[in-house]
Amino acid sequence: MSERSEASPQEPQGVSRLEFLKRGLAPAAALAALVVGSKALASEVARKKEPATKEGHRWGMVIDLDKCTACGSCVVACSAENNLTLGNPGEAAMNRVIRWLKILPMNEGEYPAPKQRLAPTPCQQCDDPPCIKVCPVYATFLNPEGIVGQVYARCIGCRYCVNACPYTCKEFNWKAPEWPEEMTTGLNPDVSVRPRGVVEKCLFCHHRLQRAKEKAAAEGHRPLSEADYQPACAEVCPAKAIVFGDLNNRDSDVASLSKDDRAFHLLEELGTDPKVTYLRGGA
Amino acid sequence: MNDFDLSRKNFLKWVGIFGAGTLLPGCARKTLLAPKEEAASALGLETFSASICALCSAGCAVRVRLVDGLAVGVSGVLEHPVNQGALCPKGPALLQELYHPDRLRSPLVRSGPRGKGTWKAVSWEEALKRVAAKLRPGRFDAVTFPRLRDAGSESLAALGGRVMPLGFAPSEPPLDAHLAMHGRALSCDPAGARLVVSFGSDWLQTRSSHVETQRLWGRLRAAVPRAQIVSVEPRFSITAGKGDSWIPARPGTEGYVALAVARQLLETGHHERGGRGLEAFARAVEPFPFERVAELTGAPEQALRVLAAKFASARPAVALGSRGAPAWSQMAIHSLNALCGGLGAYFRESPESARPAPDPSTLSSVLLIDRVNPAFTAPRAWRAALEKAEFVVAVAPHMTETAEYADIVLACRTPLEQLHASEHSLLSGETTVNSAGRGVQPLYDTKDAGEIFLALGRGGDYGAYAKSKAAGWHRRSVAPPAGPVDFAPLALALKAAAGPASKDKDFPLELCIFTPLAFSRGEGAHLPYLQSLAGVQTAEQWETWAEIHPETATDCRVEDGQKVRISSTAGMIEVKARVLPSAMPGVVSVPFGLGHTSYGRWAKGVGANPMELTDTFEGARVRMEPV
Repeated sequence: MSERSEASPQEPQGVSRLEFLKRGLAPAAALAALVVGSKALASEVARKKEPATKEGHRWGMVIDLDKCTACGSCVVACSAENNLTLGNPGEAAMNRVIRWLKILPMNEGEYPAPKQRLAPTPCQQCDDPPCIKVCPVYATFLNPEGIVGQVYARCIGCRYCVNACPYTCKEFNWKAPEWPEEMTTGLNPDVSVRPRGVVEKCLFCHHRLQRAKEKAAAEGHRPLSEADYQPACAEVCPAKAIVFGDLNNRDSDVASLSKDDRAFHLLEELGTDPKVTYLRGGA
Repeated sequence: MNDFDLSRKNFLKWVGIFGAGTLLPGCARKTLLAPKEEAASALGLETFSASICALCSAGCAVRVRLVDGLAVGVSGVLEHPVNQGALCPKGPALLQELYHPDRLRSPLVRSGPRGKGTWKAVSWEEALKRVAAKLRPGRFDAVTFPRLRDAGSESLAALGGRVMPLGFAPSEPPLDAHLAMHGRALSCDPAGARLVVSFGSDWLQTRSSHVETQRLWGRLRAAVPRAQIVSVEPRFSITAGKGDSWIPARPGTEGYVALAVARQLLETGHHERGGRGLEAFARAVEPFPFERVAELTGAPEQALRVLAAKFASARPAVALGSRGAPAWSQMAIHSLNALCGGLGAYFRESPESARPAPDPSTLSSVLLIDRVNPAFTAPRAWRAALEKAEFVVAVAPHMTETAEYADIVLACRTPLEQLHASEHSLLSGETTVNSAGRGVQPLYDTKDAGEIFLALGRGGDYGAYAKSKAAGWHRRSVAPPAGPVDFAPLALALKAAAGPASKDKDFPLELCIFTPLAFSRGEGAHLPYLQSLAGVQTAEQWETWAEIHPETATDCRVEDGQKVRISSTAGMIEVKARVLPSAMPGVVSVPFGLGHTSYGRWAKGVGANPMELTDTFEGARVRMEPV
């Protein structure tokens, strides 16, 4: 067991230079330094020291529950964009229909004065994701732009991350996906189809980010902006309740809205530091 | 060497490897092991085409993403006045509509008894010849869906039959009230109103067009001062939950709430002057004081008084109804717009023509059914009419309950494959003209619906025909309703209106049928992504459920999740019970949209159709028992 916990990939956020040097003196570190090369280590240390760097992008989302009408456009757009499985009555009865973005109902009170909150819930893209800490094979990880990634080829299907995610945003493929022959034509060629036995999740339409980067590079390596990259859910939203953008860009709508008076995070007390922010509904 | 060799050497080797791995400092391990992002895979030739959604008559423009000529994605067109880049849930499901494996692939001729589902594929030439022989001008009825105008409706009208638009009542504006009180259809865009009160209408889910409605909500919520949104309806719907307050009222009694408010406004003088027959109306609402209406509707009396006070103070106010209610109720609700200033501010004369809904008992014996499915939306009346008909031809992209009754089914194309030339009205009453070529190359041996009608009539090139039609259409502007509102028909209707249905020992509960957006117009259950969306509030999907209050559940000896039978004098269905503390006691709420006996592999045999229990969306008396 101690081996497993040692294998946890997360270092405490603020590793001091002294602490690092202490460890660096250990023979294993010397070995690692030889293997990796001092350059990689130095950059890693620099990144750890200033995690809130304003350079580069930090993609985030704001969902305004006051404007959101729970129409479900985002759910269908996400399903179509990411080649999600079709679902059927059997899977529905077992709660195994895979949807990367679900509308979570929260009900309170009773007749004649009930209350209800319907929150579209994509992966919350935590800055301190509980799911990556438990992955024994580094199949799920936090990428430099803040997106929690998932490598299907590396996933061994242990489902530790499914259990660890407090937002129920990781989904396990209990079966190989099935599409009628006719429908395979319409699959999005940018998104791989997941095999049986792996975990999948919302990636903020990462493939769109990649295409946007390609395009920006082709156009003379111009900087990327919100106009280049929007996930399918934000793009489709008819009430304009979903705002997506770069949290590091102080001029972006997402950066200012995420500091709004109405802003809150799901299960804030867990300290997962999500990059999906909700704006409270009601007056 | 198949067996794992746990020799001393191997053991030491593996311990060495793992040991070295775990001894690495975390940061180094991370650098070594964290996945490297690979470049996106190479793509074929990517192109985009423009098309129109056409899954309802709103006319949203879509951009189709094609890779190597095959459609692989759909998104909204930013510059289009209707959808402004957005789509409702039906939009992104367009690809499933296009690639549906059970689509009709050629014209079909019935080869066995009617309704048995035995078909023979025939050529277009033969199918059109047979149909043309039956469709004599003035001797057949064409049942189609309501829309302002498009090339298809023009070529259909040119065939010379009686064209009967069949709307989906809960999604339509209260057209019967508009006709009676203004003599024409009105459109309503309440952006800017201080108070928006809906009566018996889960308008976020039902009101057409869906995209404009969701956008309107966003605007109402962002407005300063903030608009108050109130729902008067039997079910704690999405609109009720999202709005500021919910006033529960028993199914079909919402009109009485409007009458109590109108009475109070007239009595206290907090109303706009003008309108024909206002005095007669004031006398007609005398018998509807708060106390009595509270009793009739089950709504708390205090809530009714507060609602009337809101109408008196928050001006201009808008009252939203739907055609799903009886005519007197639609008029009672609309009268509040005249009394509270909403009429001049937010209502415009609509270019849409409003006609009474077709009566299935007075149909011709030769029927052309164009992309509507009345055997599912109103099965009891329409099944009888279809069985009686001498000849039925259906135009449809998918087999439906109605098409099953046809003698010939003409396979038409889905929205992305067809030509578009159409005019649509917006919530504001203004119109927009759409013209688009084929978004994708058509699949299968199919034709555009309009092309079929043209071929049955005068013939010719449909592309040129559509283009010439659209060239003559222009954006129309709008005007507020001309002439005074007429209260006289309402006063008259109130005299004749029967009170709410009396209690019935055998059928102690009241039925409330609601329509999730995914299944509006009774369509959508054939697309799996829309199936997953039906029960957002209760996390139900791929199933029909019935919502009841815990007390009602106890009375019926029913538990949450149990299979139950709901019966009325008309029929019986079996569904899953959901016991919800938010439900109104004595009311059973059932979603409409499932329970198909046709309509492809994903719709057929899933759930139950509550329209088997009643003929209208106005509710019915029912009984519930465990199965």
